[in-house]
Amino acid sequence: MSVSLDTLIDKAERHLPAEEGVWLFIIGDMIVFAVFFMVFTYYRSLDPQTFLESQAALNQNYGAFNTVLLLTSSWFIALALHAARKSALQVTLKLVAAAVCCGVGFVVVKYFEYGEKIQAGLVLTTNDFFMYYYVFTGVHLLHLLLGLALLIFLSFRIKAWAAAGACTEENLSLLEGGAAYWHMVDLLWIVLFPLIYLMK
Amino acid sequence: MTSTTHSKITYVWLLLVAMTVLSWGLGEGFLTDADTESHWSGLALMLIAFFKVRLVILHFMEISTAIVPLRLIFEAWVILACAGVLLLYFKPF
Repeated sequence: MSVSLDTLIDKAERHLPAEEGVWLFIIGDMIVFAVFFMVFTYYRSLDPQTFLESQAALNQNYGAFNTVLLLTSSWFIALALHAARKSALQVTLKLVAAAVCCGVGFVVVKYFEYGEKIQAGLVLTTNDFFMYYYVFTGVHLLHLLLGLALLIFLSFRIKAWAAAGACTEENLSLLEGGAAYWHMVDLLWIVLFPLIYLMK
Repeated sequence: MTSTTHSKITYVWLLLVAMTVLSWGLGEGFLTDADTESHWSGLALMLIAFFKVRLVILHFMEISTAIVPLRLIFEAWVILACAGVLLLYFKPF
């Protein structure tokens, strides 16, 4: 009798990381962003010339650098969760701090990027492209700032868990929720970057 | 953490960064001829992006070992979001 890999995983380790509510929130947010992606592509198809000319005014290097920052940040958080499961809470704390640094780096790059655009007179009301550029990247930035606040809050919790000398199942579930949210912020940017900055 | 899990996550991160560099090169036109139909590089960019998204979902968010309904929802999101964008991009209708 053959046993599929999926069945083995089912019996051994399939589980629901974090709380149900966290996943509902994440999935809801992802559906909203999927609509954003389609709205942008639709309006782009109505006026490709304006969108292409406006896209050429963006700095692709900023967008690419920010993608690498978020990917690296997500990597740190994934490693942090594994460290927490092994109760290596000091390592977890350092990895979360490294992830926060990458997230702050993203905000700094965005600050310079928006600043350059505004100085060049390219604002929300310039045309449809810049309207969508500011709204979609702005809503994403708000999600990222919320994620940063969450990671900083989690850092304080991890410190307390380390002082208590243990990371309970409940603590782990909280950490899993924060990690899942942070990965969502990363994956939404993974689509926004090529969609807004690169696609011709 | 086990060294296997640790290195798997690190390999995934390296692959994600490599694909980001590839996308950046494609978008900047370093990897395509001027004559190349730009819609094809657009298609490649979106396929690479959603492949990267799936890697983050499965390996960083740990959905590959999550309960089946959750995995199905995420897999459906990847397929529908990618198909929706590509349909509007190519507008075959």
